[in-house]
Amino acid sequence: MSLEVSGLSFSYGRRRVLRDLSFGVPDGSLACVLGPNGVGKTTLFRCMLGIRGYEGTVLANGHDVRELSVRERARQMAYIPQAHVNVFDYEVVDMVLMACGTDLGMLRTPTLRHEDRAMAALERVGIADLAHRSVNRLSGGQLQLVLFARAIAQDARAMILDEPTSALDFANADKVLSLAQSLAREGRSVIVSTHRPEQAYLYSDLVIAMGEGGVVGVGSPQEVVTSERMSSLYGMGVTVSSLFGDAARACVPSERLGAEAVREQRTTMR
Amino acid sequence: MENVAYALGRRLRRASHPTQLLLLALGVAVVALASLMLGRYHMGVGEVLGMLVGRVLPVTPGWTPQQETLFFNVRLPRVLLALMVGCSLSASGAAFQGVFQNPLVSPDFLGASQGAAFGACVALLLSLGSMGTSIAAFVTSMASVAIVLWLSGRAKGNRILVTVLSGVMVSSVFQAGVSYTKLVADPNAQLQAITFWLMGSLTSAGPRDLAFVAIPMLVGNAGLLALRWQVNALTMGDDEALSMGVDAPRVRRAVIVCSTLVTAASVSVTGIIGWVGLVVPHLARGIVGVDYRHLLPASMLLGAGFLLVVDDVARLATTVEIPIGILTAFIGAPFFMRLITRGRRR
Repeated sequence: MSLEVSGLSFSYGRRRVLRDLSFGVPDGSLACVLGPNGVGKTTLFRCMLGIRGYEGTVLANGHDVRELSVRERARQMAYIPQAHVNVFDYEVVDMVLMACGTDLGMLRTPTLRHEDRAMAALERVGIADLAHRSVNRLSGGQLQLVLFARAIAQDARAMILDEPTSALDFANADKVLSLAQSLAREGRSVIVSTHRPEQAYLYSDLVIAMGEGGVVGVGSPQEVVTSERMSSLYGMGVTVSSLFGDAARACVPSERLGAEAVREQRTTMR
Repeated sequence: MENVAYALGRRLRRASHPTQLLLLALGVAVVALASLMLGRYHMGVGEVLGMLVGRVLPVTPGWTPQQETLFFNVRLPRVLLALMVGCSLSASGAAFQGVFQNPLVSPDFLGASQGAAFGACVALLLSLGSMGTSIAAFVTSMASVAIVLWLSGRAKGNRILVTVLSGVMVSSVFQAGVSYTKLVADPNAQLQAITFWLMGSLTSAGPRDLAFVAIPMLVGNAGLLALRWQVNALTMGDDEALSMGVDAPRVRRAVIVCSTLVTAASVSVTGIIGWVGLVVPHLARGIVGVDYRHLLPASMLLGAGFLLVVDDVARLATTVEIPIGILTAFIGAPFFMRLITRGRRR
């Protein structure tokens, strides 16, 4: 089990944001975190990375995150933040290179070997042609791909991706999640947050549903992406329909469908 | 003239990073040599080089002992000090802009200059002599930044914001102190000295000043150079830096200590010289880009050359020397404006 969270709680002052969260992401699998806005998905990730203080334990590959040095933590976990601001206009390859220094001392600078690693990561994401573009001239989607390449270049055993597809078009979203899946198949554990249950169903091995204050359900996509679970998670009627022999599932707000269609759908799903 | 500079700049921007740094270093060397030759008593290239080489190898002097005394006690220290101060202020400005993720930050925004000014004013008020003034300025400058760090360490909230606010508050307290010393100073003697000190000048630069600043500047600049790669990650914000294995708060503290060492050393012997630490890093970015691996050495070289040229203007252009602090603002601000508007049109 390379990412294991147990009894994790976190509060902003008196406001408790996360209450007693427990789940694990085994080696070689991709987990999706689903949940409404503001339930603390980003906060959870920051706690797991050791950026925020928390109660409970987070184990990364068996090591207690709190006992690891900043550098050792970065060797265990790579991260894509949800929001990113560029103050200075770096070249794409230089920005990717920043994550390659986890084996360097505080006073050292990267070598050609590190630069090769940065280029390889850009190639893997398919944006090697952007290597010398300045980051301020990238579109939002391209920037997200660059951040993904940076996380790959970090070469950590686990990856935490905070809404990596929020700015991506249909094809790029598929590219990133397929790539995340293949990174998981290589033995890493990958955890991704998303607002699209369809994506969670299609790409993940494990779905973690987070509601107000905690985890409301952990299980296989088949178990979690259902009408009942999604309706209670988002606090609205959601009708989930199975497609292509249950290879995919579509989630639609029930109100859009009308009572007749919903009833029909519910009976066929059983 | 401007077009020539622009064309040269464009060539320089296209060169590889090592070439750029080499050319900058060469430029600084040429400016330094020219500065050593120029002055009320002109000296030729042969004489300047001969006197320098004569210190290590036996050379038959083709110059008078008076010239040699002038050279080693006045001109060389002043040129070296201008180079070192320009280098230091630019390096610490560039580093601060990175670790505070703000391109508008200058080396003294944590109170280093105002602290130094207060110490110097008190020393001048007590007539402690030039060395006493330098020491007092250096100590209060370091102290003011220490107070800022202590305050911001105890405050809650966004670390960068509380550090900046603490800097503003501590600076204003010291500024009030400076005003008070001016109020109580004897207008015929001390007040003049205080006013002149506050304007910043390299006029009184001597070998003793060099010896005083050499160690803090060497240590501080070496530290900044060593940390330059880590500063890159800090420009991405603390959370991202931490996730990439860079201990952002620790690196920022180290950079503040190094920057404060060099800034305090600079202002303690020259008085307040503004603009260099803000403008030069931006010029350097225009040449080598934003990556601190190249930006920091480029800022150092460019800053050294820039301040030396400005000091040459200060001592040569008019019969009464213009304080360099005034000139850096007169030259720096319009230059900066030109740079911004030129960038916009392209």
